[in-house]
Amino acid sequence: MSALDVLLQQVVNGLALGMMYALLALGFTMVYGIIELINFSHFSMFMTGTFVGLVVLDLMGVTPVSASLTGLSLVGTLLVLFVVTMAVTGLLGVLIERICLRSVRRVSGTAPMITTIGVAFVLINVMLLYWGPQTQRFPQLLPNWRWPLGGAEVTFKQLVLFVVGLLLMVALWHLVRRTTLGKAMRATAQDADAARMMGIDVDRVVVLTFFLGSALAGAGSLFFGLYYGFTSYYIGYTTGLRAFTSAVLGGIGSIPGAVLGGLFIGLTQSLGGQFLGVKWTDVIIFSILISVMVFRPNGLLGAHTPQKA
Amino acid sequence: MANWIERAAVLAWPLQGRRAGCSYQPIRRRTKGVPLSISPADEPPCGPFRAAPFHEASGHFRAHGEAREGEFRKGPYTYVLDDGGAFGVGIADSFQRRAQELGVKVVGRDRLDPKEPDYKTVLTKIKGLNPDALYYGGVMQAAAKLAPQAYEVMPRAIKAGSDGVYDLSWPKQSGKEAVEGWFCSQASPELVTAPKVEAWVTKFKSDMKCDPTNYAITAYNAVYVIADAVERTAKAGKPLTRTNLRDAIQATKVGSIQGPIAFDANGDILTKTVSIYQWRDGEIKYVAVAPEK
Repeated sequence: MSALDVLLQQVVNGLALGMMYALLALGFTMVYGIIELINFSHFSMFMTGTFVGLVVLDLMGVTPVSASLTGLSLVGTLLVLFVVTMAVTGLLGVLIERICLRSVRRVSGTAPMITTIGVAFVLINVMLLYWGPQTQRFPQLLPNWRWPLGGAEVTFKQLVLFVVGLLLMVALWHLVRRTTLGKAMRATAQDADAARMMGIDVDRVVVLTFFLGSALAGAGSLFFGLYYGFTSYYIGYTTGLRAFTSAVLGGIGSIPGAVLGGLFIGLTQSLGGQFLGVKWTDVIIFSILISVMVFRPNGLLGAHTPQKA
Repeated sequence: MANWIERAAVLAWPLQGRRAGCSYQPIRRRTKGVPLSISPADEPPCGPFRAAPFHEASGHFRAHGEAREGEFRKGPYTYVLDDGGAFGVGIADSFQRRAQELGVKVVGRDRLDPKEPDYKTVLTKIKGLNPDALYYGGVMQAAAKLAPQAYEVMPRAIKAGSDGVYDLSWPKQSGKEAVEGWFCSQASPELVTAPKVEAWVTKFKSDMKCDPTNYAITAYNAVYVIADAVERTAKAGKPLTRTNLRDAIQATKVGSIQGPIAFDANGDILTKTVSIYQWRDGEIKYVAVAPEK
């Protein structure tokens, strides 16, 4: 490969990686945007979703070593996989909100955030105890098609990841901006008491937000499994940290910001790894984050919101 | 547990000392026991005696093995990765040092984050440098992801690791095709398939419900060394103190199913044998003893 081919390949790698982070950041930033809660359990929900997906596939008789699927059977399997996994993770999110977070929602300070950290550790350790520390292979359902891009190449999985990420961003933005539910969400985000007085069931809005956010985490988890072909109890940690950084960098609460932040982090990771070495990845990423926060505290696309009285 | 550790005269330590890390050091501080490390220790030595060769030797032998096997006759170039842990960095350093001494050109060195899922960045970078081989120093947490991604990005490169990738579950974790052709090593003679240990292996499988590795045999021999030292000390009429047992272990000269066991002044086993293996068709196959010189 020539130097230009390597650079091109790293850009492709970075965009795919960035979209993975963006997928995970979307649900996280949406929850923050509505109820201003930094939900660290979101990333453990993402990890849990991969194991839910494994169980669903196993129940359908699809394992890492079973014959590959094509045509309608592949489409049907993917449909069932996504619907069931997203429903399960969505309901799990609702359960977490109801049991762990509703009572602390009105508590000022860091209590709600710390509660989500506790939930995250509970999920991690439950998965670790049940599945063990070893990496679990995830069935490779997507075809391994590849196309040349100069001296580099693009895979079908990368294209799917990119396209789905953009579609989800558009769909989510449309939901929040153009639907009645979205209007209720924005009203709740602006002033929950006023929204309540206007007849909006704030608790229902919060529950739906958690359901959607967790379902998005479930979708992201399946793309992770299908793309990388594995899962483990710790995947929420590094990927989650980068996704959190993406959300903050892009402007926490901003849906397009989550995608922009994700792509930025992904490209930084791949190009930084190419020119400086992958051991410097976290130094580079978090240095950029600090710089952006110093000069633009609301993130790249975050809007300045006045403090509430 | 605290009481018996403080009273212990000898500890048989199953993990590599540095890799045991957090769990080893607090226990070591509570006891003045003479640790007998059963598996290869890291550099520098973390206990007075090791019943299997140092990883320093393992890395050296591995580099010799790769240079001698003829895979590198036409200008050998290799890239070295480690997983950032004490064991992985140590053995990668050892490999790199010896490879360079043997004329193998190391075109780069980088570090993997074991919790990172995506290694395509570093593998694409490595592919751009076009090395003949890739050496990974580290354990399974990174290897389980490195193997399939390396298979995807640079399928034709020779790939090798240490005993960190001698893990019978590797094909299950990474896929049979991804681990195909990977070399690995063990700091021990090839024992499990030797006819003289067939009965031992059969009993192990029956009792433990899993297959033994060579290190199971060296661990067994390490405890045997301790028992022999205790017996000689008692027969000599000396009290079973840590000092006396340390001296007895130093003077060990016993036969065992891995061969004669004796220790040098550094506490290393005298017969330093490193075996090379290769993953083929989902199974690990013995290749040869790595040359020492």
